Amino acid sequence: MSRSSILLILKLVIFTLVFYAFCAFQTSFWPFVLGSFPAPQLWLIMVVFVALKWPSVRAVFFVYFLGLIMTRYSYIPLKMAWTSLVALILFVWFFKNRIHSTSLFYFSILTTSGSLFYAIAYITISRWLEPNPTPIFFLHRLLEMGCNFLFSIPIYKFLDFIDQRFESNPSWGPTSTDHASEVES
Amino acid sequence: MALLPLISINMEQKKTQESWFAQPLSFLSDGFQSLFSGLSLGVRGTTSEYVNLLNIKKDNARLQSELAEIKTRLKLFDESQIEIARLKNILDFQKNTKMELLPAQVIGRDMLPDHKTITINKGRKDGLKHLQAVITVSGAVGYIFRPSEHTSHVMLITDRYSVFDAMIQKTRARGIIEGTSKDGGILQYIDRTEDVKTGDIIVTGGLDNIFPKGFPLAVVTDVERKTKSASLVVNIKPIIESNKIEEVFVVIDAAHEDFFPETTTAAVTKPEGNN
Repeated sequence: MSRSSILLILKLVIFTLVFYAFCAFQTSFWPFVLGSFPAPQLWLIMVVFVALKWPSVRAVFFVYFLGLIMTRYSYIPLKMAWTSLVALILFVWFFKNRIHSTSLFYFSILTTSGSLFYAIAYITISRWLEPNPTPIFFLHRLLEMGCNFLFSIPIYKFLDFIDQRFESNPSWGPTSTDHASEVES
Repeated sequence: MALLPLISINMEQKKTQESWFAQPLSFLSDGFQSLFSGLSLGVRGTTSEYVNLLNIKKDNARLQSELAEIKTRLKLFDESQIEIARLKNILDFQKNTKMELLPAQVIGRDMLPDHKTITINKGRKDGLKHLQAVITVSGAVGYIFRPSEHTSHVMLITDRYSVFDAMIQKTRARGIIEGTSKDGGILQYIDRTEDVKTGDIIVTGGLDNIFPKGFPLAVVTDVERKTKSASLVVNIKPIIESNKIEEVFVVIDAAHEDFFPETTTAAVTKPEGNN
C-alpha cells in the first residue's frame, strides 16, 4: 500500500473519530453544562469543511457516511439526513466555484450561511418527505447559527491542522524531487 | 537669700490652698498636659488602629476564605439534601411498586432540535428491549426505540414521531397522544361532547402494550372545539420536562399493575416531580 493511501485512510479514520467526538460533545456535554441553550452544530461545520476542502467524490461519499453516523445521535431518518446534507454540499460547492478565497472569515461566513441554508432545506424537505413535518424553531436555529459562526474559527483551525498533517501532496509544501527535476529539464 | 528655703517650706505646709501666682502656671501646665495627653492618645489610637488594620486585613482575608469554604460546603450540603430526597423518592417508588424496574441515568440528548429523544446508560446487556416503557416517579417519559449493547435511545412523548394510547383521568375518554417536537403534544380523537377542561390530567391508556394503564402522562393546556370536526383538539403538556430528566426507570415487567386515580394524582403533585 502506498504512503498516500495510508495517509488517506488515516485521515478518513481521524475525521470520523472527530465527527463522533463533535456529536458526543453536542449531545452529552453541552446540554448538561449549559442546559437548553442551543449548542453549536460542530458536525455541520465539519461537513462544510469537507465539502469545501476535499475532492468532490470523496467529500460526497464521506458526508453520506457522516449522515449515517448522525442517525446514531438522533432520531433523524436516513432519508432526511442524506437529502439535507447533499443540499448543504451543493450550497457549499455553489460558492466554492464562484468565490475563491482562503480566508478564515470567508469560511465563517460560509458556515453561517450554510447553517441557514441547512435549516431552510431541512424544514422544506421535512414538509415534502415527512408526514408530520418539523416545526420552525426560529429562535433556536438563529442561536445555533450564531454559535456556529463563533465556533467555526477554532474548528477550522483544528480541522485544517489535521487535514494538512495527513495530506500526501501538501499544496504549499516543498517541491518534490520529481517535480523539481521536471522543471529543471 | 537664706530665707527663701524657709519660705518655700512654709508654702509646702499649705498644700490645699494654691497660691495666687501658681494658679496660672498650673492652668497652663494642665492645659498643655491635657493637650499633649490627648495628642498622645490620638497618636496611640491611630497607631493601634493602623496596627489593628493590618491585623484586620489578615483576619478579613482569613474569614472571607473560611466563609467562602462554608458557603461552598453549605451549597454542597443543600445539593446533597435535595439529591437524597430525590433518590429517596425514587427508592420508595421502586419499593412500593409491583413492577420490575431498572434504574438508568440520562447520558445524552438528541442532536437536532427537530427530534426529542434521550440516551440512557443501560442497553441490551442489561436486558433492555425495543418498546419498553421508560418512566419516572412522576410520570411517563417515553419508550425505548433503539437499544444497543451498553446504551439505549428513548423516544419521548413530545417527539413528533411518537404516538401513545391515552385517556383523560376524570372522564375516562380515550384518545391518541401525538408529539409535536415542541414542548407539548396533541390529544386526538376525543369526542367533542366530552367535558375536557384545562388542567385535566391525562394518563396512559394501556392499550399500546408499552405503559401500564393509568400512569400520568400529561396535563391539558388548551381545548379547541372546531365547528366542522367531530373530535376535539386537546393541546397537552407532558408532566415530565424532558430537559430536566436525570434518572429514569425502564419497566422490565409491568406485572399487570394499573394505577388508580388517587395514586396518579399523588404522583403528579409531588414537588420533586421531574425525576
